[in-house]
Amino acid sequence: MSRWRIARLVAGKDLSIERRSRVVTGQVLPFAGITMVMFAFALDASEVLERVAPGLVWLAVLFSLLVLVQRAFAVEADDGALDALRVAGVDPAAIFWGKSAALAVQLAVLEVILLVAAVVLYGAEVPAGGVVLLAVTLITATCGLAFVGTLYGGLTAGSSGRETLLPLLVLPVVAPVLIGATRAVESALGTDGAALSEGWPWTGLLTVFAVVLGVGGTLAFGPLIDEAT
Amino acid sequence: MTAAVSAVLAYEDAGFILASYAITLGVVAAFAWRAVRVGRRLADQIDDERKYWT
Amino acid sequence: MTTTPTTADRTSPSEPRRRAGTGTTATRALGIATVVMMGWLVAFGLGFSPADRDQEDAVRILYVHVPTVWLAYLAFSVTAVCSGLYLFTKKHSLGFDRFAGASAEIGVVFMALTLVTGMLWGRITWGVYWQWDARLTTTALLFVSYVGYLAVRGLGGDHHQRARRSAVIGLLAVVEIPLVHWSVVLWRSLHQEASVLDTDGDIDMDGLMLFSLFVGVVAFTLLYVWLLLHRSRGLALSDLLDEEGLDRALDARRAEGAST
Repeated sequence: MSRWRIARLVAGKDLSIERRSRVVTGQVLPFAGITMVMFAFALDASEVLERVAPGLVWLAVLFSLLVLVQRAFAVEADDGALDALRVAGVDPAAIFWGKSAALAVQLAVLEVILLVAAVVLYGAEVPAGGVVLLAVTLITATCGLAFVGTLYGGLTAGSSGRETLLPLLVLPVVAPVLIGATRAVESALGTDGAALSEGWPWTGLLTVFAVVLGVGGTLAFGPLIDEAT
Repeated sequence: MTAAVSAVLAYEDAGFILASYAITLGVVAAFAWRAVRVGRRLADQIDDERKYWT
Repeated sequence: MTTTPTTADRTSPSEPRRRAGTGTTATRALGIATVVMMGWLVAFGLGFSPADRDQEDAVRILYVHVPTVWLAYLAFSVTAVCSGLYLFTKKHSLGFDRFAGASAEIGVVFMALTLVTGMLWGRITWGVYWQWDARLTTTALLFVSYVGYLAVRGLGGDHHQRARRSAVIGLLAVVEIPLVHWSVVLWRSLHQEASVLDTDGDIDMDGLMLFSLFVGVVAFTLLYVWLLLHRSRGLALSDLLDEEGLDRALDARRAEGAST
């Protein structure tokens, strides 16, 4: 089987598990929603909320990413599916791409819903001119986050106590995504008078991040999940 | 010696300066001490022939 | 049943021979040199070197701050190089892995010291402990990343598994750190510097000041080599003990099997 076919199969399998179990819609989405509400409680002022809305959206996305990644690998580790794939000699790069793709789809859905929540709850506005920038930002940031999540999720999947390590490893790495995506969305929404043109360099940063982590993950995923000596 | 110490204490922000030296040297000493202690405790359980540096 | 190995069942009480620790004649000589250089550093840093024209006596923090930064970066570079050597050499020698681990431990300690002395210095020169400037922010993220690296080393599994995992994390850090730094620099360039009292880096170094800094760098580099030797030997010992524990458990299992 070609690498692409395996990746598609892995992604399809992950997504159909999620569709059936409804953990994402029943738990992760409500979690992200309540996080947005909690931010409003913490920053009690509507002008402040509107100004920091893009950052809060991405923070909520990052927290949800941690939950999603734990979920995605708990499914694998519970019945030893990851080990089975590896023992069967399945190309680890293909597993990496498949799981990243599934994670990216879930993240993208989550991000769109959270942006809508920001419009509703925080009074953010999306001008027509900013839609393209917004879409590009969402795609590049989502790819980067999905790669990081899969890479470190694979490492921390499995036995006792590893789940607590995930946030410690992931959060410093995704700092560029938080910075870049927040600034890009700010200029797409025109938050605080940010110009549209200021946003494009940040999508460049997000693209470089996604490419570097994508290549790094493809190379590193094999040794990372390999449990045998 | 006392003259030197009082000269140092007379620096502006002497507290911050001395604190940075004290913290640095203190932490370094504690880390070094711990490295030797742990090494000695482990080394007592291993035959000397198996230590590549002996 | 496994029994925890104790000193008592390894050496008979009749011959209380001291076994060799992690030190050798070389490390002892190195240790003495380090202590002497540290004494010099205190004498020159706090005493003989003159106060700076702008920074006055606050410049004295520099003589411990800069060597700790240098040491942290040196340690993390050694970790990265040793990680690469472990992964890409045919032999996959655990010696490289232990050097990488020992070096990362030292790096984390010195990065923490860097942050603390930097904050104290910042309090004097900027009036605040922390500024969200690119260098500080990257340093803080770097520190957390290597704390994570050490946590990965503690995940368990056999030695080669640990070595491979941590080597990959150590090498990933090398590609991630420039990205983090770049993004933080871009982030800061958006905001006008809140220049409280920004005398950043503008220090005219005269001869004695440069010499004090040189003493500091030499002292800390010696210290690094000393610590690296001791810690890597300590890690080698705990690996040996792990193996021994495993062998003993297997022997016990075999003995059980034979007796029934």
